[in-house]
Amino acid sequence: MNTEHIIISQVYTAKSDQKAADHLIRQYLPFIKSETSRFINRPPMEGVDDELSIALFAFHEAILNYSKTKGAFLRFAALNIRNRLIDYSRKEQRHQKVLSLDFSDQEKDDVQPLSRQLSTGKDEIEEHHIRSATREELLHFADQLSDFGLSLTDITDNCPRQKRTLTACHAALNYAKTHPELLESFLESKRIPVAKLAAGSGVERKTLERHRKYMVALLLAYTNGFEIIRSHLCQIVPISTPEKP
Amino acid sequence: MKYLVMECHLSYAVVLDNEGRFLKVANLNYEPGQTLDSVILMKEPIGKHNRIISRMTNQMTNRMPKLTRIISTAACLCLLLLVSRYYLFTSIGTVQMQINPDVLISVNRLNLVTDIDGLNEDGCKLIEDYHGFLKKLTIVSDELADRAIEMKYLKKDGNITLTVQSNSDNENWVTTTTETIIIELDTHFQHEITIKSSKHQNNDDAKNYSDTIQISIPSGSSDSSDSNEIDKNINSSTSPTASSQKNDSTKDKDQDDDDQDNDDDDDRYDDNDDDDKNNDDDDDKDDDNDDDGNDKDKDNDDDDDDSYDDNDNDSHNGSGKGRDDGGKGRDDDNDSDDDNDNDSDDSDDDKHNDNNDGNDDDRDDD
Repeated sequence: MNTEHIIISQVYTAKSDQKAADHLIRQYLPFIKSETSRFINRPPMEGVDDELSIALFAFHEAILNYSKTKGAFLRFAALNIRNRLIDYSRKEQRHQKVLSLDFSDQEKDDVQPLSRQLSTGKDEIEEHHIRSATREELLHFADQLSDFGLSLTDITDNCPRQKRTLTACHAALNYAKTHPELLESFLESKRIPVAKLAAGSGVERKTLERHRKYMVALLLAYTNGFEIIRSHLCQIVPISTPEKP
Repeated sequence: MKYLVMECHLSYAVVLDNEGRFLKVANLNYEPGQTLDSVILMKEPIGKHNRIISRMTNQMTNRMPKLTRIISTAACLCLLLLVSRYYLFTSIGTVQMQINPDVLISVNRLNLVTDIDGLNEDGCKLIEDYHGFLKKLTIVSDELADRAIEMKYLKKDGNITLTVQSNSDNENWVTTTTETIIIELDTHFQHEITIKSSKHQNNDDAKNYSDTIQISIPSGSSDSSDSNEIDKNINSSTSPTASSQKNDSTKDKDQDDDDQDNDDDDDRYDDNDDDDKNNDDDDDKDDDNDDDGNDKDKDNDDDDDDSYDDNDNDSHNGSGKGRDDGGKGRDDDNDSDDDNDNDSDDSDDDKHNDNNDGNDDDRDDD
């Protein structure tokens, strides 16, 4: 019973603290592996089996969704892991007849996996450069966010879920894009000009205040130095214009 | 939908989709900067975002255009107005105040005044420039009575007759409202009120005065003679309550009397019953004179109940006193006269007083 109380207190701490969540996950990694092996009928391999990643993901999900009314945490987590693995296996069943690019014929010597043998039709070197540049830009973006006291996880938690709210935030962003002085003042003051954005874009101030962290990330992405992120945002779907009331 | 992997953690990864959403997804050995076509999204905690409620709200909002929302809001307002109209503006009964000006007050379920109409010319003048809409009925009745006094419609020994009627034959409401107004006017005029039901002539039915109430409003004069007269009227008048009290008191006293007084006691009871019937009679004086002669004859006749009844049909309380034995009877009668007058009109009390005075003189003569 004492162990159960300790686990519950740890879970409730991990709900709001990312580091505590990571610590709890590492602490119960053997449990997660055992649940995964029970499902796939073999020991999972880290970095190879997606099922283990799914199980880790499901365990984290259980931490966020757990409450005392749902009984023992480990039982709840085991159930969540199993459900996730079932969903993943059903999704992957349609690819059962497809060979993995990592497949290699063991019967032949000096065999290379298919990913090295087949031509993708792409310039992998260029893609490698692009990916490294993207990685650097993302690191720079995360550093800029830390100057505002934010992390990408915070941005994710504060991101609007409803499409209407998302559209409203984009409307404020479009207004800021057409008024570069607002972006400059934003970078200098490290604060969002909520009043000017609300007055100029017609978005309710309450909406901007509620999603302040997300607006910081958006406005930051449209300052100098984050072209890859901007290009990703405009890649297929342009930023939609808000519906006028 | 394309997803750009922004950050990788042990159990999840943060991705950015084309529409600008930052999402937590399962980290299937992703690397930052990687672009994905499909991801496994993390289920949001239910309590955090009220998923069900927000989904329902979204559906309702998406399905309900702004015009529909405006119409539905307007419909709710109309419904609210209709309900308030039903409770506030619909009259369920009327109170007719007859002074000489005659006004009709309509009240709603909350006993608030919804309308005041003048039923005659003086009534229209009384309510001119008076605003009693949605005021309490008791306040309006007080204010109208005060206005009547100020405009000299209500004079010395004036009367206010109240007639309470219910639109739905709600006797409980009629009774309750009547009593409320009586108490209010009684308190407003400092308890100088006598109540009588002018609709019921029978004394036994006079206890039920829920339909029409006659309220005598004093002039407010400090003249002692007037107050004495009022006191006399109070003393000499009769009412069902007073008559019952008188009967009780006389009964108690009769029990203490000798056996010779038993017949006399019966006579007294007869007197009381007769006197209650005759409170409004204007021939009391004449009858009293006749009774004086009869009284002399009856003094020695204890069995003449019939003649006693005949004579007392037109007489007041004191008329039968002389026929009885001496002091006890007189004293008892005087006391009973006092009791009876507490419940009768002043005008009748005056007549009774006059008759009593006459009878006393006659007794003295005897």
